[in-house]
Amino acid sequence: MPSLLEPPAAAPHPPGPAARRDPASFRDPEGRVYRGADGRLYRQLHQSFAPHRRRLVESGLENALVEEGLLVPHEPAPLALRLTDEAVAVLQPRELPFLSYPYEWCFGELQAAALLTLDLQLRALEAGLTLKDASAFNVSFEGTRPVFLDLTSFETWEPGTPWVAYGQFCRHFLAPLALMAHVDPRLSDLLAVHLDGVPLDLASRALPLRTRLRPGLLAHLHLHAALVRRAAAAPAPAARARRIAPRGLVALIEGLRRTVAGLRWRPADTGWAEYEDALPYTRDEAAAKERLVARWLERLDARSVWDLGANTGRFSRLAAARGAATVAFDLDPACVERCWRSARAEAIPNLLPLRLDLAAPSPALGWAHEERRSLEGRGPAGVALALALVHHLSITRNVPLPDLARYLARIARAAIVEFVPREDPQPARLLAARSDPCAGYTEERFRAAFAGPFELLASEPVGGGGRVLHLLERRKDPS
Amino acid sequence: MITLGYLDPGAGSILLQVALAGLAAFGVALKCSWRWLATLGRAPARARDESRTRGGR
Repeated sequence: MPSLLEPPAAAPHPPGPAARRDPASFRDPEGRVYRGADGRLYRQLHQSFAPHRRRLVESGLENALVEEGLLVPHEPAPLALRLTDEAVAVLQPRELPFLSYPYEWCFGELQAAALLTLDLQLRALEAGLTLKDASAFNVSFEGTRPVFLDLTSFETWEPGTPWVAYGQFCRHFLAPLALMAHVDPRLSDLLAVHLDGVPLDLASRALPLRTRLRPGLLAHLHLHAALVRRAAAAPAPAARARRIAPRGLVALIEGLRRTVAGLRWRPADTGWAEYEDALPYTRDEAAAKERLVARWLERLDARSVWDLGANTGRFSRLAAARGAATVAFDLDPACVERCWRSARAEAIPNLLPLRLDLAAPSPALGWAHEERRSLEGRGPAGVALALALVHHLSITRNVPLPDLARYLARIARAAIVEFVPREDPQPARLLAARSDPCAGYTEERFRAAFAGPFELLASEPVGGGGRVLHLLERRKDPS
Repeated sequence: MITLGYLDPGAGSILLQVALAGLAAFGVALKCSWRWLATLGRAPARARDESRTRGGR
């Protein structure tokens, strides 16, 4: 990367008026991420990062990690495209089809991201480098595979110094994983509240006593929490007191890796993972529904598909098989976990299962509500699949049908939506739990609600129970 | 000089790391020493076995 090793160009660069810094890229001054005037994603590097990048490149680590698919590739870009004059190099990172966040991952995804971070730290130490931060937001997923995004996290390691990101790693990964494994998988929601990781004292108090019998959790979490609490008001230890044997640091990280890898969560029967087996379709009807959805996906020729209420991802697979970057959203952690495990085992490269409550979709979070984008902010998708979903939102969560139609039109250009009549066993069961008749839930009202923001391209019944699939395209000028 | 970058590593986390890494390094050293001692112990035994084999012939 000669542009980095040479002095910066003398000519001052007026930042392009349309270039805009990524709102999430403000903490690390060594590498700013921004969207250029051409709409592409760039990362500019500061002079202070030059020695670290030199070692990263010359050690062969960057190439090796990119080739192994562990690090997002960065192509050199002209320096003239820099955002500010302090830049000495500009790179163009490969953009992922969908940027997911740790609070949307299932247990397996968070664990895979944690192991990737530790593996990178071990590889970095071998090359005389270290990760200066270990935020879970440094990782995202390309299909089912975790990939490290933040090139400027690597810095030269001075042997004998501790890992500065050890505490952050434990907050971002170990604490939520331990809570998910030993208390409840839904506790990943804590990551949406504690964006800088779950406080260790909170995790330590919430974990059952038996976790103190596990040496890894005892040391890295419980003892860690106690020491952080005691040292909160103490001054930083003197440099001499924080010298650390390099061999000891490697052994410590390897031990931490064993602790993370040793955490287990088995998706139990939550009722949803077996939901598809309980649907009132015969095998032929289910196959007919699959064929119809596949035909419509072909007709829409979508590059990106969001399967809302995907369950274990049966229809997401159809979209992924067509080459669309597919995200399978479901509320139930067991469904998402099973979908992720099976897609990973089948090596499906473009299917990303995520946890999402569509009645309360991921909001914009972080500094100035701009750091982490909302679901809508990461759209729109080419196609939204909403199969056997509307009755759950309308009857159980009381979302009015016109509101649902408008929201779907905001997050997707087209949609395949299934309407399940109130006589069907599923809505009938939901309606039985309500005292009011929920009179608004009818096919006529459904069609009227969706006719505003969408144009109905086709509708076909599936099965004999009155279920109907609708193929909808967003109106350019919704009424 | 230690460069801490923009992230506060936390005094408690650093102290724990120093202690755990010290223990881990001690463990590694102990393991290596044990292997070395075991190798030393095996060498005379092997020599004895070889002389017995030769004698047997």
